[in-house]
Amino acid sequence: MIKISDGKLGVKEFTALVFVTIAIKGTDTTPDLLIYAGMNASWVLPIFFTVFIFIPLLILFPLMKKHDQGLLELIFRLAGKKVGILICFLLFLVILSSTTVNSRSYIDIINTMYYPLTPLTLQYFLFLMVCYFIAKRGFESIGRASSVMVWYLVVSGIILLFSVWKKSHWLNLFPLAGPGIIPLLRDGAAYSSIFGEIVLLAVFLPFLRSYQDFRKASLIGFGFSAFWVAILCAFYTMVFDYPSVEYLNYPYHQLTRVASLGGLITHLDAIFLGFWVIASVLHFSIYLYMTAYIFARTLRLDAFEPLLLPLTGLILLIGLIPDNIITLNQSREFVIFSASAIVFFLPLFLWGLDRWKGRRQSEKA
Amino acid sequence: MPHDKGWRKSRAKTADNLMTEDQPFSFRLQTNADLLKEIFYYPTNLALKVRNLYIPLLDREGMVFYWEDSVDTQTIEAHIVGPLLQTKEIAMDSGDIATLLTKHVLTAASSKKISFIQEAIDELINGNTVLFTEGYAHALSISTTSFEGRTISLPTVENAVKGPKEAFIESASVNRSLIRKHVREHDLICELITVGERAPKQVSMMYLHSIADSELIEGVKKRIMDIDTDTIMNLSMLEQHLEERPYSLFPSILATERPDRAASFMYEGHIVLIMDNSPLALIVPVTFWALFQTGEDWYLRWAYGNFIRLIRLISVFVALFTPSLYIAAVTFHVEMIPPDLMLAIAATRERVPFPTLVEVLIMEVSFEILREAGIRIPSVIGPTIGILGALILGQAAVQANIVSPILVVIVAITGLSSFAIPEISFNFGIRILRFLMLFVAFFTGFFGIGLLSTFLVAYMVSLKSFGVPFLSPMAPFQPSAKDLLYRPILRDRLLRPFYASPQDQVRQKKTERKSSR
Repeated sequence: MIKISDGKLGVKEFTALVFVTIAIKGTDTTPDLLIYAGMNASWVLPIFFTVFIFIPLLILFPLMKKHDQGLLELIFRLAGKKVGILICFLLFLVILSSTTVNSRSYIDIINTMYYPLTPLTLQYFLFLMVCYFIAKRGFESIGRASSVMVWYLVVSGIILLFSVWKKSHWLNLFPLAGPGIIPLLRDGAAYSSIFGEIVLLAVFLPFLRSYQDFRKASLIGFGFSAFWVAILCAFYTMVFDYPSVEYLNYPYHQLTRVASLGGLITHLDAIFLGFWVIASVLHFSIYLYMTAYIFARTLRLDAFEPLLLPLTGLILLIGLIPDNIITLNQSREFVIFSASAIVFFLPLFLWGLDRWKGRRQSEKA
Repeated sequence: MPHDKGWRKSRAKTADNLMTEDQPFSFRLQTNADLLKEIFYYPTNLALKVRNLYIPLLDREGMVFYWEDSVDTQTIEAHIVGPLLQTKEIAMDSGDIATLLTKHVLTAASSKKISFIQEAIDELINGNTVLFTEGYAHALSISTTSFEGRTISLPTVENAVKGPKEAFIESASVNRSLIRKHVREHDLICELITVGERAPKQVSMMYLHSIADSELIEGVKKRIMDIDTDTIMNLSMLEQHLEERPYSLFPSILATERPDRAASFMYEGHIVLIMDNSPLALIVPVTFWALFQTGEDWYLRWAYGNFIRLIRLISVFVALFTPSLYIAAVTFHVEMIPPDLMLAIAATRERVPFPTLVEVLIMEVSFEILREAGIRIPSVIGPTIGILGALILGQAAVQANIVSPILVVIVAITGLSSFAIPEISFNFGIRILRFLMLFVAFFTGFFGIGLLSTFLVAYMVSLKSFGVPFLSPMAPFQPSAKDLLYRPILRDRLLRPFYASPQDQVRQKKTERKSSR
């Protein structure tokens, strides 16, 4: 039966959106960091991240439920106007810098691995242009497009795993703890902002039908994403083995290079590139939209979609600054570490404020 | 109908006869007759026919007007003129002349009393007969409409091997009757909406009251009433007036020529629009799945129905992507082609001087020309197309080293697949997008194909047809009959309720019951 749309996202769409936002991290340069930190046990790290990220989430979600507000509204409500603007602006900087750095890094991957002759500027421009067009169609469309495409992405991922199955050796995973439990735990905490988007995604609560939908979708999407990143990391180690996997810049794309289905179809990398581009475009449309949304809310603007174009231009311009992947990776690591702290402590800070305010109010009463 | 707003509005612009503005009839028979004759340019235009007669029952002169070629003269003779002349006496009954005649004299199926000149004009144009009597400032309009038209025939576009073989024709009343034959429900509603200001036409809006969303019905009705134009020739033009996005490559309204399909859409809560002079019915709102499915999917058994759906799904992808995948592979990703095939392609391409894009464009454009020519060519010389297409394009182009043989294969399979897309608008959309995809693939390979496909999906999910998302119930996900890419067995569909608004519990129960067909 035909029904008129209400313009909000449901569980399925938001789960897909969370998955596209986070799971794609297993396919960019993130595993490099994980492998550097976790050695052959890099696949354990995503699981530790999940545990660490759960602490702020467990604090944040009840707060959101209590006030029934999205993250940004919550900040303004609890921290007041001035501090609220400051925090939101900080969040905006975090999201803007990570969008810029990551998008440039994705284009670097495509340029290095597949199109060494095409000008990077042109590719970057095309890429961000499409991201802009998708973001411009609204959050509803991004969510729905993710929910349509996510199945193709998952199927292509599973096909990839099947096609490298023969070349993987599960014994490569041993010793299971890699550098040892303590270093793993330490790095798990330090790098956990790699998954920190899940906290930032809480700004989208107003776009969902209900808080229950939001919580369910976030947790399911997050769980699957962590699982997928862990599987990918395990496969990198299983196929390439530990010391050599560390020297690969883009393990996912190397993995697609070795993928083969039978004896006839031996080079599938271009096909996987197509699907990967789909996922990245969706990923950065979400980021772009989030950047514009946070910026608009910081300045208390109602219409934020006109901001998308100038922000896209800004991202393009900043993204073109780094000369090469080496300088880019340094700034990327810096962004990850600073974001880690913010993402981790923001919910704690909000919780503290809430307690303090609650106590003050009860004292008054 | 006579006194609603639209009718008044339409009258204001009718012709140059400002004197008809709100003008009532005169008591004098001759004045009325002269006025009507002037309006219809009598005697320059001989279309208006007048018959003078004496009505013995009333002991008055009378005049019968009708418009040539739009009436059934037999009916006028047997049910209007005959009874008027022959009836001399009736049982005592006092009252209005119109009532008297309707009740005791006229044997025609229906008639109504009219009082204004403009009404008389409208009635005459629509093939009704108007009767004036001396000393009476009203007239009687008697329905005698009979326009010439063809009889019901086989569908020409939406063929079905198994299933009903009747198609809509150019008469609205016949089309409505075809639908009523399929939907025998007391709550099948047919509303008439008048559109066009110079020459008002009627649009019949049909829906099932207990199933269709009331908000949707109001929305569609408003959209039709808001159309501000002089005249709408037929449904194909109404479709373009109703669209939200006239520049979009994807249609948001479905046109079907099968009454059974229109009926089954009604059972899912869609609205069907019917107009005279259109051998079609418009279905609003419409989702992507409707463009891709045919009526036959449900007439065939589960396995066969799914099989043809799968074939059509493959066709859509092949028609959209094959040429661009070929270009992307040979331009950017040569390593993905198996070595033997790659060598074969390289060997045949060796003698062709053009870049791949030019080669593909030559073939694709020729194919589109062939296709367009095939439609426009007079059927007497039709067979030449086959010779031209097959021999000159296929064989000779390869021998002349303009294109490589593998391209002929690719263009052929693409062309064939595009024929398998059932809906004509969707078909055009895919064919145009194919060219876009081609250019993108030539300049950026799989990267560009990925970008464009994602954009297309994002665009499709943001489309709405009368408020209904284009890809629902897949995105946004809603519980449904699961009749999307795959169809369940019929027994399962009966048990599974269609989705209804949660706030409207009553409808859900009704829908459930009615969903059994």
